[in-house]
Amino acid sequence: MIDRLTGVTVILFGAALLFLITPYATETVGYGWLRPNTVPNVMAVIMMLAGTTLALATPQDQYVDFAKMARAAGFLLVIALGLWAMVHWHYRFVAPGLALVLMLLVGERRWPWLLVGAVVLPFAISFLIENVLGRPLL
Amino acid sequence: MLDFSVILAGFADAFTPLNLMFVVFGVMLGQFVGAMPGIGPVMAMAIAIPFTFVIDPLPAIAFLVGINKGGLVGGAVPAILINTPGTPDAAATAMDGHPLAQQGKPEKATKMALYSSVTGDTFSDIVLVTISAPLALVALKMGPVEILALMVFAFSVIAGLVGKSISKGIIAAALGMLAATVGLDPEHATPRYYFGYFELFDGLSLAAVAIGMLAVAEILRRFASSKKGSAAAIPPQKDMAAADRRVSFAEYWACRFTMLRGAAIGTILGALPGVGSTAAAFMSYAATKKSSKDPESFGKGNLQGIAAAESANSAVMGANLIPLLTLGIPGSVGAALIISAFVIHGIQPGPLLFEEQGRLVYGLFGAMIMANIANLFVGQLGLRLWSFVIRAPESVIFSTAILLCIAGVYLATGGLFGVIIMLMAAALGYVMTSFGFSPVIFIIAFFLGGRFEIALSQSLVLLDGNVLALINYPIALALFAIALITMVWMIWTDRRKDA
Repeated sequence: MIDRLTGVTVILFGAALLFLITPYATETVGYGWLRPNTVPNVMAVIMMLAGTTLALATPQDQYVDFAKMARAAGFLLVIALGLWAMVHWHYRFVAPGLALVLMLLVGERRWPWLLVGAVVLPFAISFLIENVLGRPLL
Repeated sequence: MLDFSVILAGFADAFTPLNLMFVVFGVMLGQFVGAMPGIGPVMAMAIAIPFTFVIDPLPAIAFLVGINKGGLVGGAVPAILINTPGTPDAAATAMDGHPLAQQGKPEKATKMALYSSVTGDTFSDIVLVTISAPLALVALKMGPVEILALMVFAFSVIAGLVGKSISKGIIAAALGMLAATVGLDPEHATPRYYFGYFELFDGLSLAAVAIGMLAVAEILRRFASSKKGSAAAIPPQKDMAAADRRVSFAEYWACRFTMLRGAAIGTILGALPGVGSTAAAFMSYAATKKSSKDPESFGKGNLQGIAAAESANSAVMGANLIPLLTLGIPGSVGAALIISAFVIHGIQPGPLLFEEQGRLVYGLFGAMIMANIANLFVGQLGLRLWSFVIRAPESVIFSTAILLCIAGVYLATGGLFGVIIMLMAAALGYVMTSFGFSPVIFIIAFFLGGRFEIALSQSLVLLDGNVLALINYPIALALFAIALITMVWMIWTDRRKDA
């Protein structure tokens, strides 16, 4: 069932790409052998054909753990928030906090490891890149 | 014809304690930065070049070569241990290396990577030393039409990596090719899919996409699966037999043909400017899997898979110097950095280099051979250190890896935009994996897609749209024929297995 739904989604994406996204996101050129939209359109058609095959074929045992996917999305959100904070308050000051939050979220409670992961290693990374290599960070 | 005494003098220059020191230091630095996701040897070389101003040409170039070679070995270590490739070309190594590490044999997996990397690298160095000039002339005959044929051949070989569902493999490849079209189109230079973000004019960065889809997506998967952050990243095996900690000579010898094939693929692709080590690693892996009597064991910790990927991606390095030294054309970013070191020291690479700077060139060859030996010894020590590091809990390892990915991609792409692309690629990679699509197929298609479109565009202009004009390109015709035979052979072997 999952594969059939995935196949239908791919067909819809391919159609959207072919009729909506690519015409909007590429320029129309009237000359040359390979137009800007040639390869994207070919890929959209290939995706629609392969999506059709996927939707019609005998479904395989594809199991998707949506709960785990939601947890992963949560972690990604935390990382994105950390990145946003780095833009505003610099990598050196935010990286320890981000590492600490991530470690606490995965269940780490031993303070020596928290100290290593949230203080020693983030400091070592920023020291290596900014001071030793002389490259600016976020 | 070069005087034999010049060759001997060059090698004698290379084997001085000062050069040895620079080579070993370069290898150590390369292995260290190669293991840092996103940073990699190319960036280390770029940073190191200004420091080479003050030293003699040979130690300077030997130092850079050491960094480059060390980085090839270093990139495989995190790929195997935590499924987080330090460099994109190590992604193929992770396919069998990480499953073997998860079986409690991380030392065996990393040692196999080290040995096959050194083997492949030594092979390409021997080719460089002995037949670089004729090989460069062949490489020079490879125009856009021949490169297009080579791309088609590469796709036909890599098609062997498509898993059980051909439809999903095709969709992943089409998505990868589509992602490669972001940016300016090769024929008219008009922007595509940039949605107002001018940063996308240059296309999506390979480092951001590869690290996002392979490394960050894997870290997210580990975070989401983690029930107890105190568990080690690689479960330690207390009663492990000594045989599971090392690679025996019999195991190494059993991989000899795999390494030879990988080294040959890497050397050929390395001699061609712009094809790169990522394609070589995946081509070699796919060819090995396809020709194996037990293809089902691939992806589950097969030593042959590690040997195939590592021998090929390392062989590219030496071969990259073939067009550089003989024609003055850099085959990769790393080779371009080495060329800049030549120029800084007032040496002009090109056809006259062997005549005018023969002693320096053979000194460089000597340094490359020394770097391979240094890689072997430094690698042995480095692997011990890494086997200690992975005893740390996964909470520490993966949170640190995230910080490294952010810092590395920020540096590699030159800004915040690349890091955002990395996070988006991570989300896509996670979803693709969850629904049974291969992110590896996506990455390969993404990597080859841009080059394929450029070659196709140039070929169509050269042929004036007339396919029959291909008759004037015998090498391209031969490669198309080999690609066709490969595809037919693959379908035939698949059907035979199904029967």
